[in-house]
Amino acid sequence: MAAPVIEDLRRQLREKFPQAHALPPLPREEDAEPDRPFDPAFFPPGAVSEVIGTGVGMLVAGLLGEPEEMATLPDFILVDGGDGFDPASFTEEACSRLVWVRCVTALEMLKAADLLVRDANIPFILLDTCGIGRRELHGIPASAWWRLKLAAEASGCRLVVMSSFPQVPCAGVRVSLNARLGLEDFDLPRRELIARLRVVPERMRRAT
Amino acid sequence: MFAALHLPDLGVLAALRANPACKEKPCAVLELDPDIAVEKVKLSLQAVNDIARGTGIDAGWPLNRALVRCPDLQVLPPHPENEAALLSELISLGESLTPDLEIAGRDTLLLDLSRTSSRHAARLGFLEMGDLLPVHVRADTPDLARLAVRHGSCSGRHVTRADIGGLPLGLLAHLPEGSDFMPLLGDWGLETLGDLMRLPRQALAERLGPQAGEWHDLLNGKTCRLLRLHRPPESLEQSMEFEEPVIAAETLVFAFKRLLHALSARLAARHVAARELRILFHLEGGARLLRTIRLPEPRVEESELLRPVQVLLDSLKTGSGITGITLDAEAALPTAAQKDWFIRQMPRPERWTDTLAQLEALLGPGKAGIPAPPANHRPDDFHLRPADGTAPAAQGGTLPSCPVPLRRFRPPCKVAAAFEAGPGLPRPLALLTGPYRGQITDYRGPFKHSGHWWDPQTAWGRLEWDVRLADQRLLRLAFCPPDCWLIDGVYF
Repeated sequence: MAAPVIEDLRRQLREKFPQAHALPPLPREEDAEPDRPFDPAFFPPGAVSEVIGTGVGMLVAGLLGEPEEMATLPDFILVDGGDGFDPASFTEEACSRLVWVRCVTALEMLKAADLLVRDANIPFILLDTCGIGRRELHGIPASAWWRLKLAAEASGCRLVVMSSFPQVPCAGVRVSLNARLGLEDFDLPRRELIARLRVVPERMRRAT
Repeated sequence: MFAALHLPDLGVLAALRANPACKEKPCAVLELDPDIAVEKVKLSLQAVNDIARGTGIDAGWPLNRALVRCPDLQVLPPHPENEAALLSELISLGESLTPDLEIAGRDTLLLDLSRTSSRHAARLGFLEMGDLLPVHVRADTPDLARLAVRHGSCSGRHVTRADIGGLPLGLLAHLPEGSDFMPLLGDWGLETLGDLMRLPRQALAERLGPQAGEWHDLLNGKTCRLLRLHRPPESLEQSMEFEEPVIAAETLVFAFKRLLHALSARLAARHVAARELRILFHLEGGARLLRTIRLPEPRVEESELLRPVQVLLDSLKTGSGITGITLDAEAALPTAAQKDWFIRQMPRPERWTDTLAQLEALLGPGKAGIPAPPANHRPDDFHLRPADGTAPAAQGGTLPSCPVPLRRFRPPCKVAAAFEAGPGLPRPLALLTGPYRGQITDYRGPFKHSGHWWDPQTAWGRLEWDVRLADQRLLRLAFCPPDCWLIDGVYF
């Protein structure tokens, strides 16, 4: 359809439904949603969630926590797109809660995620795309994300995509995980750093 | 007519097969139960060889007494594999006479000779197992034969009720629950089986229970039970040969579908399920490739059996065409267990195993599992445990050195660094090459790590820093002597 025709259609719709096209009121300072502490229950089941921000690296640490006993069954699956997970950064007890799937390309990562979402025996899947080059990530068609979304809906899985930038067009929840870390924080206990994590809901705009 | 076939001292014969050097010495095998920790000298002998028996000791003697009587006694460890092999040979021997036989113990068979011709039955006296001679006894009932074959005086004879009466009462211990009453019967002054047979049946049953009445009937030859027949496992093996060597997976899937259809029907007809599939690929040039698929739980349905086979075929690399396939299955009873309420379980474990197999086919072996941190400080020295829970977790990993998880580069990124070389340790000043360049504004360290110093071939050592660049990026920088600078990973 030619561009002038679309513009004409938009104009007619604006004239016919002016209220639907009115600009939303700007949020006042006191109405703005406050930062929330990190909570895994924030990610809804049966949907794709996307996490961006400076604290993405702390997401796995926040989810695994610091358990004192070995888990009999894993609670999470990490589909590691860039093969960057470091087991030495976690205790053996924390690692026992995780199944680590090591991928080296975006295609492998998506195929592995698709298998695991459909399996749904472990219904919390983390998809780490941070280690994959931006060009390769841009090459992922939107249909691949929609396919994962439909699979997650069918199986009831929580699929959390960890990204450096917004890229999932069908994300039901997109949050920014903020953790301003410096070298001085390296001497603090991990639980303090996790307590400092703040979840900021992102405006749901179309990711490209 | 029934016969009992018995291989005396089977335990010690099996142990001597594993230790042939001891054949000319007095040897014994202990009744060793690995679950019970008792003082070894108080254990009794399970079996002794003829040389040891010649010194005056016998099975059932305590080890300490036996060693006093025979100081040269060699105590051999039991050898269950050889015992099973000897029993298997004994079964083959029995089957040469009649197909109707019962395994009455690990060293005794009961044969039903009612359908065997007298000419065949006469071969009982000439049976041999290499250099071993099994003993046999014939009787009108299987249990009389079973009791009599344990006593040397009855060997090769047809025993009657009168013969049984002269045998010692201790033979009763070879019947189920027989050993429980032996002390009491000994207190009553009974010495032979005949003493027991002469007691009134009703009074015996009133005092000792119905079991004693059954023994009384058995010894008097009033009961003749049916044998619990031993049937060799039927083979589920099927083969298919191709006219032309096959390369395409679709053709193989089609062939397997046909074989699995027949296998599924045969399993269903026998009310069993497949626990393991063994697939033998016959390759061009005569080579063979064996693959085993262990199913998470016994299955019967054709589609459920085909799925793991398809996953296997997806990842199969033979290097040459396949000229034929052989499919065999290990049967087991179908699972009828209810899921446990109080143990966390996966909702569909059979699907999880399939998914793991598909991941292995997609990513290669060793790419999915439960990570286990290293037990030392060598960088990136982790291992993966299988995610299907087959390998137990072994605690012993080191604690993380830093509260912020590292995003590791595999392999580490080699860079050029400007550093201040002093008399002591080098101090990094800036990164000159690589993906992260710039001045180092702050750092923690150095942290010295080393290992395997005792072995020059595998010894390693390095210095590590946590550094902050001018753009606030946090990295782990490592220096490996003599002149190698590496970025291990980034923190974010």
